[in-house]
Amino acid sequence: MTGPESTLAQTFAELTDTLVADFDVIDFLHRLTRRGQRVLGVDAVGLLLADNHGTLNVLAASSEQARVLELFQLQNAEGPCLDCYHTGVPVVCDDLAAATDRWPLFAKEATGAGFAAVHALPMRLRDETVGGLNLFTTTPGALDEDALAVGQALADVATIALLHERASRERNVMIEQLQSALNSRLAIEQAKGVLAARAGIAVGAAFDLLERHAHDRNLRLLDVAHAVVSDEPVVTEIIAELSDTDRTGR
Amino acid sequence: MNGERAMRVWTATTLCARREQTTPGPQHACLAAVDAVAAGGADLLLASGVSGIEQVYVTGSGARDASDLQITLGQGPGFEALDSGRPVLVSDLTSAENMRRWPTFAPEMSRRGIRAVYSLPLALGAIRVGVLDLYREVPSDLTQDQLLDALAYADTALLLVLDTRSGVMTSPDGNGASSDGVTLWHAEVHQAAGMVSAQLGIPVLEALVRLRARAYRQNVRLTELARSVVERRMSFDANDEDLTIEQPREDTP
Repeated sequence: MTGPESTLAQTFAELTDTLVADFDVIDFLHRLTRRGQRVLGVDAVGLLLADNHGTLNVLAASSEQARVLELFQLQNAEGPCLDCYHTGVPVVCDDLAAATDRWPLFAKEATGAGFAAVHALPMRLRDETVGGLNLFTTTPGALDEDALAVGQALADVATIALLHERASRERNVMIEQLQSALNSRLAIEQAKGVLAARAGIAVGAAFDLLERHAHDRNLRLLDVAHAVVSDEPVVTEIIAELSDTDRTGR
Repeated sequence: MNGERAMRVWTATTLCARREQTTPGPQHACLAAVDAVAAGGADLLLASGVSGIEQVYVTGSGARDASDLQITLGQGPGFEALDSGRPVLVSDLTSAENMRRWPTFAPEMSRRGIRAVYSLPLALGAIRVGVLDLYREVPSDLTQDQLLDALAYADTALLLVLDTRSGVMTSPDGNGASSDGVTLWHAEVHQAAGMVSAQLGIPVLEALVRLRARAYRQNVRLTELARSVVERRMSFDANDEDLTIEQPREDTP
């Protein structure tokens, strides 16, 4: 784990502060993956949640690069997060290059994207697993126990956040919350597409635009996404905020 | 939460269609849902036009009244589910809370013998296609299993609505909707729908319908087609036939 303990304490304080205040679950989880990446000293973090079809979907990720998102999504076929979801226990792979027997497709794609090791931590609700937190690193090796404990705590906070809106752990409420969170994510994907086509940029860059606009104006990411999909004037506004780096980057 | 449920729900839906000797449509999902969750009746309302709502199917004696009442008043759990994109589960319409929530609708409903309503949105991201309302004559909660079933039936109805609009022929043996069903929830499909919507200046739902139609016509998977749109190897033109596919280029992360 990199960074002093104060960074860690600060992260949890910040995250739980948000949980107490009025919050949007997608914004929250997005922040959690970004902070998680820094605190754990890993190179990519993704949060996957199972839907009603038993499919794992990316709910939030520290990087919106298409190639990284694909790695998360790919795990519906095979991969550490799928194994973790099925078994409910952490799955550690400290050397992806040596994992081609275990996950032929996933190992190839992950190493191709520059990753060398991966950890998957379960999102648990009582005795059920609802998803997983995925940690990717570009250097081989397992995370130490402390880092794994912090990672698991982040996965637990994410689960709590998903249930928080109505402060209830009733099973039916949980099903509704998960359903709604997944739908919110799809709305963001749609908005990314609209912005990408209108501004002539990649979908990953479109997410950054969306996020910056929401952050600068203190709006919920989901609300901005809905406005973009409904083709409100905000689309022109967001595109006007496009800098030259956005255009050339990615 | 698994593919088995989706398969079972699909089978029940196609059975309903077969009994009527027709191809599966959203109404069959609605009909099969009534059995699955032990409801007294159900309706299927689809969003049409800017703010309109269209009752496309009703089954069950009390349900027709209930459904008409929701539409006449323009309020009720179905409208809330449609607006929010979230399920609205009302286990007892005559509870104090619900009487306050729908001062006209709730008492009228109980007068007509309907005590519980479960409204499941047909929603995909920001797209609101419609709502599946399930009605019961006795106040009661859905069990966890019934709720999961109800959501799966709403998803199936949604798929069949899209199929109908895309001109995709759904065969009773499961080709069409069920085989491509899961891909409808993939991220890149929605990124592509957003892009096509911007390219053609049409709503995202319409863009999704066009994507699905083209995937069906060209016999490629929806996800594959979506990827070529996102990677800009394919774009949509106002003239649908005017598409161009370039060769896949090297991945640039």
